[in-house]
Amino acid sequence: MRISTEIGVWVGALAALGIYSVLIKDNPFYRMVEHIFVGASAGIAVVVGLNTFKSTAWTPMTEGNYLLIIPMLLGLLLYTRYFPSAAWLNRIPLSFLMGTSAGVAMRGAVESQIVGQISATMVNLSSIDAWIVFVGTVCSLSYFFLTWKTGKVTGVTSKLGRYFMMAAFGAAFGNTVMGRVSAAIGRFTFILKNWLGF
Amino acid sequence: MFVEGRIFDFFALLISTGLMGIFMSLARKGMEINVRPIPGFEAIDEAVGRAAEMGKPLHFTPGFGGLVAATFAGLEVLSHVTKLAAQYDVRLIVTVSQPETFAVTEQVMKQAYLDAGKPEAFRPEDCRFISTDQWAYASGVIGVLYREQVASNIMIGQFAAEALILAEAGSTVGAIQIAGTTNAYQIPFFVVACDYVILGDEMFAAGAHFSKNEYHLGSLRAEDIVKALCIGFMIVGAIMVTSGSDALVTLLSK
Repeated sequence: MRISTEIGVWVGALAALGIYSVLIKDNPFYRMVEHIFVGASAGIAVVVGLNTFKSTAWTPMTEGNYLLIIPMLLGLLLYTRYFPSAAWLNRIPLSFLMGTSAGVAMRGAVESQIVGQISATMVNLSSIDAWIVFVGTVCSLSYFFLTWKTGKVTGVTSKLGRYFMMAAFGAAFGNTVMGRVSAAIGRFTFILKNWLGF
Repeated sequence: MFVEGRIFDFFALLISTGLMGIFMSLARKGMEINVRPIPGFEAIDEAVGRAAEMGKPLHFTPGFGGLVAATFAGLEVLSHVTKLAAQYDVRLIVTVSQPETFAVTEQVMKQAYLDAGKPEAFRPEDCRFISTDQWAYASGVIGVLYREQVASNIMIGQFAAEALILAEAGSTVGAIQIAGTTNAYQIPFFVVACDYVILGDEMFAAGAHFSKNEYHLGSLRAEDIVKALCIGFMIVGAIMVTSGSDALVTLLSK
């Protein structure tokens, strides 16, 4: 056993132990690590934000791209929420953000979730796998009819769709748990090998 | 005129949007549209009521996402939850992870308290921005759940790998939990650890379910018709592919 002398390893190991300690109950050690974690990530976010602002807005603007003043002004308006008399101005960049997000998402949704899904389901029904994909997709989709009363046929298909989804969730659960166990093993290896030197 | 490979996408978008416009207008003219019962939404009153009975706070988070569709659906639910919390005098704590979502969330809460007739009940310190870092956000929310000993925990929005961590913490403090997300990889964790789960697309019925707003109801009916059309395409397409014709597949790729 040869305990590490590197400060980074000590910080990493103690932080991992602090986070794991919440499994017993909430305690001062966990709280300390939690607050350091949240504080450090806030600090990093400020630095990354400032660098992004400099590289994508300020520097190009000083080089002649004056149109960038518009998004910069919109960004500044977000801070008007701290001044009650001008707080209403805050709604302009928010509306812009919401509208843009909805528009961008809509394009992606049509491409990947509608057309892509339909294409992927048009399979050659000559194997059991293909039938599972086809029946599973059609039945699962029928489960999500939200405004129609369930009839005899849709009742059966939506119930079947639910079973298909539960089977898929079970498989995804098992798969992800394996990934999480692997991550936990990585942490324990770090504590035992890198920190304690076993 | 059209970008190759996106022609069908364009017409699909056009048809979907057109159908929404038509059904919104029909709903406004009085067409009867009812949303099927969704247990997760119906349990929200129970969750707020439990917090009121126990005299403990209620926690809500719209997740880790920015301003995406799932977050908007979560904020629709938040509006309803805030009104109920104001009505029952329950302390509502909301945790957020993205700055732009934080700004919108605060507005939604302020408006909901105002609609409920209790603007003074809004406590800015209970709408908390935690962190843009996924794991810092998760550890911060866990801290809130443990320290505030919440009676109910509602998580509806965009969630990623932190989903199980949050749900597990809520379960440990004994909170009644309602969760919903569109991320199919995280739904299993919610199914395991929560009392009620709103599955994927069901989340988008929130606006129609709570407000009975005709625009929402109309758009939901249009979505159902689009889903029926998709099923039709899938069936016809699969039959055609099986019989050796890929005409429909080619059409979709145009």
